[in-house]
Amino acid sequence: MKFIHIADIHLGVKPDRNKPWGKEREKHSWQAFQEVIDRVEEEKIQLLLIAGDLFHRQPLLRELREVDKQFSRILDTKVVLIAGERDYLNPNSYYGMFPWKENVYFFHKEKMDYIELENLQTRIYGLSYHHREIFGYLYENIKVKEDGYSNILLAHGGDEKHIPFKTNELKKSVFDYVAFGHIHKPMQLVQDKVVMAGALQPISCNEIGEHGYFIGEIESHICHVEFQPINYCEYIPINLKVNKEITGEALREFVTEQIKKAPSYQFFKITLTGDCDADTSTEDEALEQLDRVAQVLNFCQPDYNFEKLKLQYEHQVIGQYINALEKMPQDEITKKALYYGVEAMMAK
Amino acid sequence: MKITEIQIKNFGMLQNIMIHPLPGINVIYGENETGKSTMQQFITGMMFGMEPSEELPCNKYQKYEPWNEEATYAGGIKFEVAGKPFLLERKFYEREKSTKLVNEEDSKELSVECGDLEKLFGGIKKTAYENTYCISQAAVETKEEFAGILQNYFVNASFNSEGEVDLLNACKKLKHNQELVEQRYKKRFANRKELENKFLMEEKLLKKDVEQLEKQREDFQTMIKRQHDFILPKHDTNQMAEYLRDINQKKKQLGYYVRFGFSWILVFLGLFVGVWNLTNHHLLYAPQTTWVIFEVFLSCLFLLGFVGICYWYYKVRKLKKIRRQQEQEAKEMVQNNFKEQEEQEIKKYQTELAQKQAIQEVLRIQILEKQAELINLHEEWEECCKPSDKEIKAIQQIKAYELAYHTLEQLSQNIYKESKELMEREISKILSDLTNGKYRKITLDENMNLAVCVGKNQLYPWQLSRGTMEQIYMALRMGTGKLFSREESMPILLDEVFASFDEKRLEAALQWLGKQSAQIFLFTCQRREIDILEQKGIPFGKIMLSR
Repeated sequence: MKFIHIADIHLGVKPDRNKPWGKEREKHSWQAFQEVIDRVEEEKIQLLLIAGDLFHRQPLLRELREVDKQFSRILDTKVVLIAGERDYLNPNSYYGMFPWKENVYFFHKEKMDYIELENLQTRIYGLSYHHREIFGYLYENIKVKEDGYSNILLAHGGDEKHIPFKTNELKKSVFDYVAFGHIHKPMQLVQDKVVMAGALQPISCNEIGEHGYFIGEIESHICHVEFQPINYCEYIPINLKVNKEITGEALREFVTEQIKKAPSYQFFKITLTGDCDADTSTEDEALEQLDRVAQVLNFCQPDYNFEKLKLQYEHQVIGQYINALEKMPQDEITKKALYYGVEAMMAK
Repeated sequence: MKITEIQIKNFGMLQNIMIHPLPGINVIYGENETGKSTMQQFITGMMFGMEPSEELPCNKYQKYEPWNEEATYAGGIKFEVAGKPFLLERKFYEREKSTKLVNEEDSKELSVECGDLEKLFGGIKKTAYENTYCISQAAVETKEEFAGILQNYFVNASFNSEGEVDLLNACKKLKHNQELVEQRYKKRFANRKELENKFLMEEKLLKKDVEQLEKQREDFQTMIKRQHDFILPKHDTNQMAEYLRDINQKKKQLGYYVRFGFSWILVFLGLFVGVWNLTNHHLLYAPQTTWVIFEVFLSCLFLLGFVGICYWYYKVRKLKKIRRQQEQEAKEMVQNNFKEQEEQEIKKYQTELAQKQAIQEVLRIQILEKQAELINLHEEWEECCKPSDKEIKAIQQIKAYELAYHTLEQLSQNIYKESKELMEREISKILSDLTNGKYRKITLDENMNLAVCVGKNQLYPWQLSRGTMEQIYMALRMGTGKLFSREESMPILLDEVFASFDEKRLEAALQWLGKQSAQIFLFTCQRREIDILEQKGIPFGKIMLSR
């Protein structure tokens, strides 16, 4: 049996909202979803698993209809879906009552349940979120029928507030495949068995690297999956080590060049480190204005050797200043203040 | 530093002047408007330069610019530092501005831009110099900036020049950077708040929509209920017409009965009168013919009555029959109509119900949809309420700048306290010399204001006489000047400083000056300084200026 496992499609999400390409990014979740349906249709995939967070928020009627329209293209494929923590089943939402096409199986309960797909000889276990947070270990100690059917767990969660689990427990379980969603980074927690699909497309610039879905096959309890990337958007980190000699202009030019060379679906997250004035926020902003730069993080700090400075200016105001600040409880603010003060005093 | 030669090409009212001052006291004597103040300005201008932009609108550059020969707006001084001779030449004219510093020992030119001159002067800055050793006419008190200069000085008092920190500038820089970050933060914050308010507004509108929809649904439901309660039976027949017809018929019937009765009366009357008249009673004594005619008339009456009875009876029967028929018809019609109506009613009710249910379903879905939107909007609002990473970072930065500023301030306060005593001792000593021991102790408060201790009282300069106040400021300037020019003693320029000193005070001041190692230029328009110096046998050079 061939199947595709997707999760965290986040239909309706608006990433990079304040950027010029924000409007374009709004479409990506839909385009990626459609691409998956296209593949299901073309290759006659028998089972489509959607491991939660199909929608970014409570779906509206037109969104549900649009999704249902997509599902109606693949009436020969069984679609199984659960609600995740973002699109949880709110009693005031129409989501739970929507009449899906007959090939769609939706888990309504927040209790472990299963469906049997007779012609696929498969049983799928799962539950839907009715709340934003679920703290219980709901994916452990599930009673699974063992009768030759393939058993799949469709699950969503993995951090302490969203159904935490221990990978080892799931590794030992009798499930043939555990299709996870929620963590946006795609990863095979247990090779060909416990798989986090990752977001279909990144929904924020912190989700760097490739995103896509898993396509696989289960044959007599042996499962094999492969990652398939989708490229509507990918965030690429650029880490730059700078120093005082590099001018803002040179930096911008360099970054612009790098971006020019990259394929057009890539967006960039720039991190600046190195020895520089602690306050170069104007520089950050200029970089952030560049095309396809999603975010700039500045971790630059003047390259002071405080121990040496302390010795050199032991009885002087700089030395006294360093001593005074080092005596304070060390946090982000005192650390910064140490740099700012010394920088201001050393300025000519 | 000792000035050995002053060359003025063209500066204000002074032209082509060459002076060779002595290393000690130099009295520059001249009447009013002979250029004493101009010469003082020339010396400071030579040492620290003169910028056309400074002190607008009435700036020094313009004040001393020659009227016709701008190109010769220039001069030079020769001076010695640590026994080495130097020549400093400046052109003040703004189009040909230039400064030249030459070490006369090896004729090597030094760079003023690179700070060689400042080094020769031991690092003293123009502002510091003008607030201490260079006292202009009518400017005995120090300027406001002096407090900051002093504080800076105190902080660095114990340092060698390498570790010197411009505390004022450091604090200024911290404040400036803090403001920059704050500005950016405020902008971000305002943008977020605006978005937040937008969401709140939208939420309000949506809530209203939901309320309205719910009310609509409620109204709709009560309306349906009411309709069920009041289904009125409907009739197609016209009741009013029936009623009127009924009344008419009854009236007609009554008329028939009356006429029927009248016919009976006619029959009886005709019969009775005829028989009675016929038998024996001749009613009328009349001829036979009249009698016969009477009988015939009575017979006719009888006959008419009989015919009337028959006719009206027939009429009544007919009317009764019609009415019975009508009643029957009405009854049947009512029955039939009701049945049909009922059937129609049920049909109509069913279709209406279906319609109503559909409307209700639409309303329900609409409400759910709006509620979902409301949930989403609320979520967005909540997300918007959280400050962004950049805002959090900015807040941290602002706090860090504040911390740095306060720490620096605290440190400088501590250092100031320590060095203050040293300074007070120095100034007190000079004041004691100047006042022949009358005022011995001087203190500086946290705002760098001077106060004199007289017994247990503290007196501020403005509480004392003009002469005493000037003595105090003189002590302050000389005391601090001494500290500023610790590395290289700078010339002291005194322009009419002793005008309000009496003889005794002047004598004390001159005696104190006589003991100083620094070069002194004393500008005066009175002869008494020269007299006292000669009297006391203090060596001095005399430079006479005339118009």
